[in-house]
Amino acid sequence: MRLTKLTAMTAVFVALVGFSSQVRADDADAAAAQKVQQEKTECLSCHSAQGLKTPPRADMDLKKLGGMLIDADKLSKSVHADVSCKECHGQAVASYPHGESAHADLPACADCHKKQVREIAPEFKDSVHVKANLPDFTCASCHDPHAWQKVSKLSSPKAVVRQDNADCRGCHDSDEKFARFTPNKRRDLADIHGWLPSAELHWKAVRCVDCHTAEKATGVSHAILPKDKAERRCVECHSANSSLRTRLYRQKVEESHINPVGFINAYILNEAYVLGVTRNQWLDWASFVLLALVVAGLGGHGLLRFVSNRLRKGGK
Amino acid sequence: MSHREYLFPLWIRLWHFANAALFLLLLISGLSLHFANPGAALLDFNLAQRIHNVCGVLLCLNYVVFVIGNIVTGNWWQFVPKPHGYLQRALLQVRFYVWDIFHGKETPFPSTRENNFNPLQQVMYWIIMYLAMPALLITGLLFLWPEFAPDRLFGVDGLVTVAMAHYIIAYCIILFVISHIYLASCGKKISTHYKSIITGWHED
Ligand code: HEC
Ligand code: HEC
Ligand code: HEC
Ligand code: HEC
Ligand code: HEC
Ligand code: HEC
Ligand code: HEC
Ligand code: HEM
Repeated sequence: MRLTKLTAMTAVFVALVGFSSQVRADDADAAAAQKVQQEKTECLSCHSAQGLKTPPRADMDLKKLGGMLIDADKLSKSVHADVSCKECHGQAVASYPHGESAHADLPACADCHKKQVREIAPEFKDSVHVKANLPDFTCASCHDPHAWQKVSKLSSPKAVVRQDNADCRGCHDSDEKFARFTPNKRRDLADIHGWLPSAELHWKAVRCVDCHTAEKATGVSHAILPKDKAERRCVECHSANSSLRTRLYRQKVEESHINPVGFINAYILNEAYVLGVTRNQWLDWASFVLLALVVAGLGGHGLLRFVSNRLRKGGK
Repeated sequence: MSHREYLFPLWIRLWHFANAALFLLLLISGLSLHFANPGAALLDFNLAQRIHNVCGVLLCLNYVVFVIGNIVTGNWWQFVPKPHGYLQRALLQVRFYVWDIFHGKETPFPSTRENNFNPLQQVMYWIIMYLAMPALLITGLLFLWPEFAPDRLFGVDGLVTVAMAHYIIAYCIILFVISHIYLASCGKKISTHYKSIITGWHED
């Protein structure tokens, strides 16, 4: 009896302590999150379109600032929405004017993403960009750390295409940015892909990496292949067994259920009609049968004419 | 009673064979696109796509020639089913195809300059040339410039409906063409009608 009372009291005590520490942890989390948002607001008071319009200080190099703006809206949806600016940019930027090392002090992605980098770094080193020894070509050259949205959270394959291709095109479509990496002349994407009809349509429907990397069992390979290894066979995508199944639409294939109206690759129809990929098999069968009936009907008619003609001539 | 009459002026014959050639190319390339597969299709995808686009646009131009030519020369009247007693005449023609022809009888509506088409030809040609062809051409043009196609239709991408309609109409017209070529052999002699669409002269 005393024993159970003691146990009960202990249990209540433990629960109370646990509860209060939980409350304290929640408080701490909330406080930390608030601090992050506060810091971000501070930095964005200058590093945003609004900041450039109404600068909080008079002694700034506005021209330079104009090239260093951050889209607060994109930032709030990005993977790093809850990471403090200072956590990545260090103390050199804590006050203005920023310290000498503000530019040099950028963090490596690996500081926080050991696991991903372990997998990606070898592929990255194999990519044309790293092999061409482009100066300062890093993960951030493609992934804007202030805007990248988690792929699995994007609403549709087209949205994934939009994000991925904007990164490649941000450089390959911009003389100014391209020139920062190489003295070689930039070739226009439309010229390079002149053999691909409706190139603009394709840029909205498939990712550059769907043609420029080898297929990989999970995710997308980071080894951008040399141009002579890029995919140019249309039927890789435009066929019943399309590589869209295993690449861009892999997630959709896994989610899709039985298809009641006879379309093959029906999971694409929400986004696009793709020649050779999204045929309707029932329609195909119906049209074969109809063709067979018409041909048989006409053939039979012809045969009857032939036979009746013979009979009439024979009868004469 | 043999009679000889000039039925098809040169412009109609030229138009007709341009139409036929474009159709054949569009059929072969269209099917290659529809059943695209490594190694399985008739033509390489890229080639098929180019042929189909060029011939498609040419077919549109040819259709414009057809419409203008018909208006200018008054030939359009031939396509109009004349209402008075139409049903009887159509039944007569049906009877010819399913019965009389096997008994050595001649067509009830021999081709003349005033009355070139039999009653069934009139409706079929009218439906094909003034309903199906424009629908085929419009869906084809929408396929070519998808920015003008509806964004979404029936809960899926708008191009799905356009593509299905294009396929179904094209298929119906192909069935018509096959029947058309066969039925042309039902003249007095098997060669009668084939000769006249080539030379322009109808003889029987
Ligand atoms: C009062 C305005 C202001 C505030 C607040 C401000 N910055 Fe800046 N920042 C600038 C200007 C102007 C530049 C342009 C270069 C210069 O003048 O140093 C700059 C440059 C930078 C650079 C680039 C340095 C380089 O040389 O490449 C980084 C990184 C940076 N800021 C990050 C931050 C972060 C992070 C915060 C918040 C902790 C912040 N800034 C707050 C005005 C500001
Ligand atoms: C996840 C880490 C990370 C966070 C969080 C982050 N940044 Fe950055 N930031 C970077 C990296 C990496 C670069 C370099 C990008 C590049 O190389 O193009 C950069 C570049 C910049 C630049 C331009 C520097 C230049 O030389 O062009 C500015 C300005 C900047 N950040 C401001 C901010 C502000 C303001 C915030 C908070 C709202 C912030 N950053 C949050 C990683 C981060
Ligand atoms: C200061 C630590 C920090 C740095 C440095 C950092 N990140 Fe992140 N990153 C995070 C946090 C925190 C998350 C959100 C938690 C999560 O989803 O893993 C995140 C999430 C991500 C995600 C989405 C998660 C995933 O694995 O799909 C990507 C992509 C990403 N970061 C890319 C980068 C890139 C590229 C860089 C280098 C430019 C970088 N990060 C630098 C902290 C960091
Ligand atoms: C040439 C451009 C490019 C470079 C450079 C690059 N990436 Fe990527 N990264 C991509 C593309 C494209 C994807 C594919 C997104 C998708 O699934 O569609 C991706 C995907 C990712 C993902 C998964 C993102 C998610 O939201 O699920 C991570 C994590 C990532 N990259 C990290 C890195 C790291 C770390 C580096 C540097 C070693 C790096 N990337 C360099 C283009 C690049
Ligand atoms: C349908 C497949 C396909 C898609 C999609 C595609 N490419 Fe390509 N790309 C190729 C092929 C094939 C080559 C090689 C062309 C050649 O050598 O003539 C190539 C060549 C290139 C080159 C090399 C140019 C040179 O000669 O120096 C660049 C750069 C390039 N592509 C960038 C991109 C970008 C950026 C995107 C996305 C907007 C993209 N590609 C989308 C297939 C594709
Ligand atoms: C920050 C700039 C930048 C970004 C982002 C970028 N590239 Fe490049 N890329 C370059 C430069 C610069 C070269 C030219 C290298 C040279 O001339 O030697 C190049 C070369 C290439 C080549 C040609 C390789 C060859 O064999 O000649 C391909 C293909 C290519 N990029 C594809 C891509 C794809 C796909 C993406 C997006 C996933 C991408 N690039 C993103 C700058 C960029
Ligand atoms: C990486 C995959 C991929 C490759 C390779 C590819 N395509 Fe496409 N293509 C697509 C997708 C996806 C669409 C659907 C675009 C839309 O309507 O949103 C498309 C659309 C088209 C269209 C417009 C009609 C339609 O289906 O909506 C044509 C025409 C076309 N492709 C021709 C070609 C040709 C020719 C080649 C080879 C030179 C080729 N494509 C290679 C993926 C690909
Ligand atoms: C004899 C007439 C025609 C036939 C038999 C035909 C047949 C076809 C077929 C079977 C397809 C594939 C559709 C699918 O996979 O669902 C197709 C696609 C297409 N058709 Fe036609 N078609 C004809 C005329 C036209 C015309 C007149 C035009 C344009 C003015 C046109 C434009 C297109 C376009 C743009 C495509 C998409 C592929 C491409 O860009 O080449 N077609 N056609």
